[in-house]
Amino acid sequence: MPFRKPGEEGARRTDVTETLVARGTAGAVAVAWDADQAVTALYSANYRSLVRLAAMLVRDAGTAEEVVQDAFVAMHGGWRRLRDPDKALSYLRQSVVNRSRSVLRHRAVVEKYAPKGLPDAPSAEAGAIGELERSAVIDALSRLPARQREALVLRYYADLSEAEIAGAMGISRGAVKSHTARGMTALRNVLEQFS
Amino acid sequence: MTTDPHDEHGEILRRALHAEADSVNPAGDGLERIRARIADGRGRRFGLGRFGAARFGLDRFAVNWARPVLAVAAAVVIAALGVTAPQTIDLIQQTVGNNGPSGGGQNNTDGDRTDAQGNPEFPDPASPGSSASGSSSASSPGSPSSTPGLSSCRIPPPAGAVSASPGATDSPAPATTPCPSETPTTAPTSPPVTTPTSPPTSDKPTDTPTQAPSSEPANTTEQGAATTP
Repeated sequence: MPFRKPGEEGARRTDVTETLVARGTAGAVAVAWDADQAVTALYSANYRSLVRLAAMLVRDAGTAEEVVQDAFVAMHGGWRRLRDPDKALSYLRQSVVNRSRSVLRHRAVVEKYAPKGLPDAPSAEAGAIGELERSAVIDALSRLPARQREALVLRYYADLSEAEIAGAMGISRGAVKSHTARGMTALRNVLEQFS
Repeated sequence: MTTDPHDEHGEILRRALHAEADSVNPAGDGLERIRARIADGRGRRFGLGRFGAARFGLDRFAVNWARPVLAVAAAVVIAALGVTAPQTIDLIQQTVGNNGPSGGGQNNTDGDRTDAQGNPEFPDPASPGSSASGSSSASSPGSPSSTPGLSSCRIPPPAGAVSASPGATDSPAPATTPCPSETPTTAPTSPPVTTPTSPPTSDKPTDTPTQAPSSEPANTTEQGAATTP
């Protein structure tokens, strides 16, 4: 079956494709209905993972939800321009990465002029080895440059291929390899403690 | 069996990332929020931003229709101004040329009458043309001394404007020539003709001679001009 949109039948997907290709003759209502249905389907299948991906990038669950919701809204608005529904998830992932970058840039500006707060106190679970490993790795990851952190998160959390990472980050595959290698080299000292 | 340290580090990183990600549980009302944003953001995508059409109650269709309508209206207004510009400039030049002692309405009426005179001057030679000049003389008494000369000199500009139309080239030349010739020749030739028209304007002897001769030599020159071709 050529279309992999979850929760839909084959005939419905064919209609969606024809509607998207023949957008000049299709009514706006039909296109809007397809966009709504696509949002619903993609939400039920990928919203949680996308929020977690965004949370790995922006290090804040609430902001991650807003980022993903904005990405869904943008996809709904650009649904007419999205000729291939199979690329909707890639579009969402790339949108999440780009919006996470924007959030981090904005946050960097805010933190630059905001007063320094006290560091986060270790939680009660910090005594556990797993929690210690996790917090140490996450802290080390958060200190990496943005591109290296994105490449590592997309590689080791989202389990994407180099081509998919390149598409999501908007860079070449060679750049993905470079960012991944440099990131792992930077994390080596921390990771060796738990190996 | 040894494992690649890079893969081992990758596994540690993967495990840590998944553990961190599992602690993130998005709220259950995400879809409702997205739908609400889509409903609220329809106006934002089509033009004026978040402070634009949605705030003023205009949906995207109103905005999409308003722009071309405004563009067409602006084009029509500009075209109308371009078409009416020469006439407007002529009117302005006439009003400036009249020196404006009298009202602008009178100036406009004088200009209209001169235009009207230019057209009927062609049939005038066949018919008694003094009546047309009499009408102009009736309008002139409002400004006794200055207007006669001015009114006789006002005739050329509109006649020149009329000269763009075919056949009007004959009228401006005779109309201009009698004007200067009127003032010197008014006294000898005009008095018998002006006396019937003068009674309403009996106070001014100077008006009556200038007006009446303007009609007669104009007629004569027009007849001559009409006969020559």
